Amino acid sequence: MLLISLVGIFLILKGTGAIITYFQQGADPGSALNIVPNKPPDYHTKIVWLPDDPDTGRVMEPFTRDQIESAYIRAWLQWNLSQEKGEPLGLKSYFTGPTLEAISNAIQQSVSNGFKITQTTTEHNPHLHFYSADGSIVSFTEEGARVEQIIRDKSGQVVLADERDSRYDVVMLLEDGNWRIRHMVRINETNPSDTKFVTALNPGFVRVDGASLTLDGQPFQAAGVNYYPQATPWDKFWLSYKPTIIDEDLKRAKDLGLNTLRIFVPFTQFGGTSPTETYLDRLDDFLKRADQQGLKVIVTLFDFRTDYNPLLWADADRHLETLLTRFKDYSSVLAWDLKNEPDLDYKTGGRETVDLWLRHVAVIAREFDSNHLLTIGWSTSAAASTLSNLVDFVSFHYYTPAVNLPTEYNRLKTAASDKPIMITEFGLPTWNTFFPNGHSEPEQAEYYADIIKFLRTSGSAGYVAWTLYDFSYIPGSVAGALPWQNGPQKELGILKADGKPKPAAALLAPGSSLDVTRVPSWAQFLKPFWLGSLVMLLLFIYLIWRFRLVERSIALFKRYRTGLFKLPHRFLRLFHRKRR
Amino acid sequence: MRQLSYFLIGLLLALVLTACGATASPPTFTGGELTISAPDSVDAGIPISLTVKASQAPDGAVVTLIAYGSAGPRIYRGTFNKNEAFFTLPESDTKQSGLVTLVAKAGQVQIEKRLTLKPGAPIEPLQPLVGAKAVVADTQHWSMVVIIPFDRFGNPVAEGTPIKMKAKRPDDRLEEQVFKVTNLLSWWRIYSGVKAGHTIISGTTNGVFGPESILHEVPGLPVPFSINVDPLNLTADGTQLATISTSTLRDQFDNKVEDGTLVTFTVDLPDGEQRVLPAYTIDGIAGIPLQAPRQPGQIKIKGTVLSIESSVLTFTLQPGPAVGVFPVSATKADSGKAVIIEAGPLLGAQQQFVPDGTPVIFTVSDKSGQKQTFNAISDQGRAKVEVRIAGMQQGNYLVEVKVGSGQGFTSFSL
Repeated sequence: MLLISLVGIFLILKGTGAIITYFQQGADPGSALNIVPNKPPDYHTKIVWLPDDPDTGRVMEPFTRDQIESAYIRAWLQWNLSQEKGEPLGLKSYFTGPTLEAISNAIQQSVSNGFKITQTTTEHNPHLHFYSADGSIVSFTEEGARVEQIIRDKSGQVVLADERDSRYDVVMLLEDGNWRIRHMVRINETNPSDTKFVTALNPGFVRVDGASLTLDGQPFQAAGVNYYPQATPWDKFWLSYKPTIIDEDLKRAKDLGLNTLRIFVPFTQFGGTSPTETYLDRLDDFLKRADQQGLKVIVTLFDFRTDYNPLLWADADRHLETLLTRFKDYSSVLAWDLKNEPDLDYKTGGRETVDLWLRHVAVIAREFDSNHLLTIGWSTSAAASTLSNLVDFVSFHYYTPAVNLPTEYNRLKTAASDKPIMITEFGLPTWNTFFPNGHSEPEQAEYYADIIKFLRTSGSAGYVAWTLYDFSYIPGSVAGALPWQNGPQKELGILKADGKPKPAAALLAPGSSLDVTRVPSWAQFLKPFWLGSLVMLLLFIYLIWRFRLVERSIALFKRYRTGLFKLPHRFLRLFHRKRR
Repeated sequence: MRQLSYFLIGLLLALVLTACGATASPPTFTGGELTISAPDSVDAGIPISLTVKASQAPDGAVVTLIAYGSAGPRIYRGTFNKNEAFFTLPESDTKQSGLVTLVAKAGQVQIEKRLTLKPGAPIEPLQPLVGAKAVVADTQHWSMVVIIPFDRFGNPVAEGTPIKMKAKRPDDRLEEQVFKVTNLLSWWRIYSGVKAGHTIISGTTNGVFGPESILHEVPGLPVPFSINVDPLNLTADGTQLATISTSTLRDQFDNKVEDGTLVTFTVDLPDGEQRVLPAYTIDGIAGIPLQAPRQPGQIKIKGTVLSIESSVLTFTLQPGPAVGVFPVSATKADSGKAVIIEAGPLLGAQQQFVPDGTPVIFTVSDKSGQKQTFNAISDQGRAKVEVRIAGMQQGNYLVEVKVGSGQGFTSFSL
């Protein structure tokens, strides 16, 4: 009691002190100056200074380097904004002399010719050559400004979408207290996609060998499931992360003979540009627990990130950098799946923009992590040949009839002949209700058997089914809110919501028997939908019959009623006759 | 029949008008190879003609040409005619030197070619930028001369362009060095000499000239210096002035320090007081007057310029101008209305009269201690004052007379 009282008094005193302190303090004196930083705090383009020349004239102080860096980055940003706006916008503050004039003219010319340029830069690598003794002139080479540009014509059609690493010789002058670019001469360029990366050969990591995957020298074929905990799928997974549940589920997957899981890292939930330690620790924990079970994990990045505005690419880069540099040595990661079904974003983001972003992300992902494989989880086999030269293995999702798979697979194999191919999502819902397209568990098993049988024999890199569990909760943003929209999504698991396995669960393990009892074709007519349809048909016939009965009744009634109306007249007529 | 004819004519007209109104979509390039025919390099600022060739392109098919240069992309559109599309990049678009990546795109086919726009020859003025503006003339300190030569379009000139820089030193030496333009500029780390003064700097290249720039080579810190006081035989009269001055301040290379160099004199007086007197050099010497204190004794003076201290000057402030006790008399004036107090002879250390005009202070105190002070000046070794007695109380009065270090006493009664 005494302790509680003491704590209470302490808190009251502390709170009172804080309030008094708050009212004793004025505004930050610095705020009166209203100094706007050159580099906006939410602008995350990377800048890495390369080692200075041995003799730069004068050794540059860290403060000056910061000033120059901010002004230089801001100059590029202002250039990008001017391109976006279609007019020289505030360029005078960051460019001077002939460069100011040239850049302004080029922007105006593009606009007057009916072109719109969207431009951004995601990386800069200045290399200092000279810094004058009086601190007013600096000369450096921009060894690699990674510039992304999307050029559209009047009709909005994309004329060019590309990414280049350009080298510039730059001279900046300190004029009236501000660093400005006076000269910027483009001297060379490379295509980032042309950069050859050598994947490290660390033991325990899955590798590519020709059109197959290997693990420690042995062929490796992924056999797994997409994973969310049963009670907390999608947006609730990482929010309500429970290691005990994870342990149970991973053990369950292991017991089913699986070797791979595919999970999702929601961009915003993980902290966007600056992933939070809490969520990183949870991912860390998951990967370690998967490792303990001997499971490999395909980590799908940028989940639910659908804004492809080039000015925000640097934000995504920092997210990627944080994740990949932290987990680059984790052998439990089979691959980074750069984006889930990006082709579905073509409609909103524009095909060229989405593809350019994927190219960009693929290149920098290798810069951050050369240990792990890369893939992109395309929604269809038709889309999956896109950018296949940039990934280690091609992956796509398959939900159409199993009978079409060989054709689609072989077509893709031809288009991306040198790459392993993996299906990272496939499945058949066992949601079998009065709505159409319901399926039974035996049908699901048959579908799984057909898919897996083909993939095992075709030399594929493996298969990852959707999903481990049936769910009772699906976010509306995933499959819609109506029952016929999210109903099938709820029952795509190989385990029921109560954890009991469906017949398909036994088919996924490598080497498992794929002999399943074929469902006779007439059996589909025993589904609730068909039975319901039959009932409805009968009801309909019955109603028609009843309708005719009613119609006849109405007719009789009408006839009867007509008779009644006419009765008084007849009566009157008779009456009149009688009077006459 | 007539109506049918009208109907058919109308129908025909409608068809014709519809056909006129429809815009024919241009043929599209569906495949084949593209090549860009353009020079590898060309001087900046001249129109460039180039051709995009297609292996098979329908006439009228659109081709887009993007020239991605130092100032960003410039975009052009053309059409194929007999598998060729001609473009001319106007002079205004080729002014900026540097690498231009030409990207031609028709349909889904894209081809690139690189073109270098070479900067022209440097033009005037070739402006030498000097900083720091002033350096110490000690052969250790240095400044920089930077020249950023540019062509007629403002482009930095080609790497390796030789720039001759000249420096005329204060000792009339002429230094010349040739520097090549590297990373868009040329620069010279110019070390100071031993003679202070102005160094005139200029730059030239291939008959291209520019204005001069000045580098000030200033003297460094002075070497230790001495202090003088004039006159040295100052007497402790609290009135006389002596001038404290430094010797000529020179740096290690015998350059007089800059005018206006601050010298701080620290004067320790006989009574323990310390005076700090700032002074600025003119022609290498800093001086300041010192008023003699009243207390005779030893005086120490030191001068300081930044961290450099002079030797300490020590001298003795002589008592004076009168010394010892001199006679003082007080007599009633003939009118009976005043008392005449006369002091003298007022003698200095050599038994000579104190100089005429020496201040003499007479202090008259009554028995209650109330004092009246009267000032006079000496004349022929004597001084006197006339004290009017009107208003004075009856009683004894004590008189004290001071002349520098000398003093005398007397008394009178009313």
